[in-house]
Amino acid sequence: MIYFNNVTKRYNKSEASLEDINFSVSRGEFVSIIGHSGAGKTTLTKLLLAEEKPTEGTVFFESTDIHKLSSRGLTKFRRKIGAIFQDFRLLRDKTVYENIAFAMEATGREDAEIMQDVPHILELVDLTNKAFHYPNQLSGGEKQRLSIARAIINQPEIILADEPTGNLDPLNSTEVINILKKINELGTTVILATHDKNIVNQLKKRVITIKNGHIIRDDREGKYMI
Amino acid sequence: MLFTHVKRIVRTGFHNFIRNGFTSVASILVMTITLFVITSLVFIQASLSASLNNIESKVDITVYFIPGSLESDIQNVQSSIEKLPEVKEVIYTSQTEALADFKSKHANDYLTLQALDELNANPLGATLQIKAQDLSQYDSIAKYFSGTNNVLSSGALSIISKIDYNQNKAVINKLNSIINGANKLGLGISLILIFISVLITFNTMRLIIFMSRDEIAVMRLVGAGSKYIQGPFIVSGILVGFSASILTILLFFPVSIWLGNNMSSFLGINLFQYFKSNFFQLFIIMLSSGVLLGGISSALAAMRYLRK
Repeated sequence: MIYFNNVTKRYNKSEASLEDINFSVSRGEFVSIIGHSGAGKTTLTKLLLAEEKPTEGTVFFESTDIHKLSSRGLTKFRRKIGAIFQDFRLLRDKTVYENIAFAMEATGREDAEIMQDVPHILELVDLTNKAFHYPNQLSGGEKQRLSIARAIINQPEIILADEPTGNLDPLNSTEVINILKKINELGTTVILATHDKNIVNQLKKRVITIKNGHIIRDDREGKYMI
Repeated sequence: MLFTHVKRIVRTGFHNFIRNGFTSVASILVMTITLFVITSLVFIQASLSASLNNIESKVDITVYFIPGSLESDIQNVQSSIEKLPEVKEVIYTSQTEALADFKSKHANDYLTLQALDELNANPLGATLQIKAQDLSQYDSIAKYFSGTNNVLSSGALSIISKIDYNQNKAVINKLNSIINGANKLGLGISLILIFISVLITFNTMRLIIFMSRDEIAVMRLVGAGSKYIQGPFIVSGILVGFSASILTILLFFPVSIWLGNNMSSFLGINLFQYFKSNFFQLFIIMLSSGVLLGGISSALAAMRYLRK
């Protein structure tokens, strides 16, 4: 489904953030990408979201080189990915309801559909009573649950979570990971970039370890080992 | 689908405009200054052109005929001159009218009137007052009286006593160059001021969108298309322009009343009357400038963050 072929990313000439990265992810997999801060995890997620272009190599989604997509093609591709970030990246001038509704509106969904789906997803992430709150009125855990709700509302093919538990306490972290596991069980591919040892060890799923921009391990049922 | 998209873009644009209260007010004020400058320049141009028309209307070439010249000869000269394309108007003053004018002008000058009476004859000749279409054409009109052109016969020339163009030539030329200069300077200053104002407005809109760059990035990540992201900014920009044009027109009411009451003689025009009689055109100028400026500035500024 996703293919990284000899991908290198350099922000300056002397140092590569990622070098000669090769891996693929199959449909329905749950893959954790682990590494210390600065290892290259975020660069990798940015390459997958086509926020950055690789210096060398290619990233394919099925048979499409995502970095050769037109603006319109890129928009369509991004609708297939639900992204979750450590800093939540919510629209601060929109309420909880509107943040989710916006993701649906952007894909051209009808108002009736939005009015039906948003309350349902709010119930799923336990934010019904906060529907008309703004992001700055939410706790970290609530923000991340909202971020997950927004990511899954359009039933994407992939969930890409970059350090989703980075700003959360252990309880909220567990809750977020449990939601991601459930999403994966329903057939969505999940790619989780993290440096949270406990979470990775609990998951017992595929683990790709990155160190200094290189993949050093790729274990089918891995543990956090750096 | 298209209708739903447009409806959502307009609704979001309205929401953003209301929610970003402080920045919306700030950009309305900046835009108001721009529209105020543009409208002031329209007023200045109107005042300048009224003053120049007033001065221009006072300039003419007067042809004095020898006293006793036949009226039919003078009328021949008049009709020849009227045929010239440069000539706007020729006013004939007969000998009798010239004397009556002179007497009324010197009604209080007893000595002059007495001297005139003692002459027992009308010493004043008939005159033709020639107005040109344009100030610069007086020189070419004067050349018709030099005899080098075949417009006037030598007989017609012989009844002309004098032409006052040569005495006024220096003044007319000077005035001509001042008027041309004033027009060019006015246009130049107008363009510079408009350019500066537009630049300030454009940068204000850019600043607002710069503040929204993170939001734009998020919108892109959730799969919003460029037009869908750009649209609400354009709508907000148009609303800023619309509000600013209303504010400007409201501001111009008291300003033009004050200028009309106090500065009419200095400006050569009653600006309140001008404002009232040209209200619709002025409002359209303000509205279109505001809406275009707001819309285009927002579109260009948002585009910058949508290139990725």
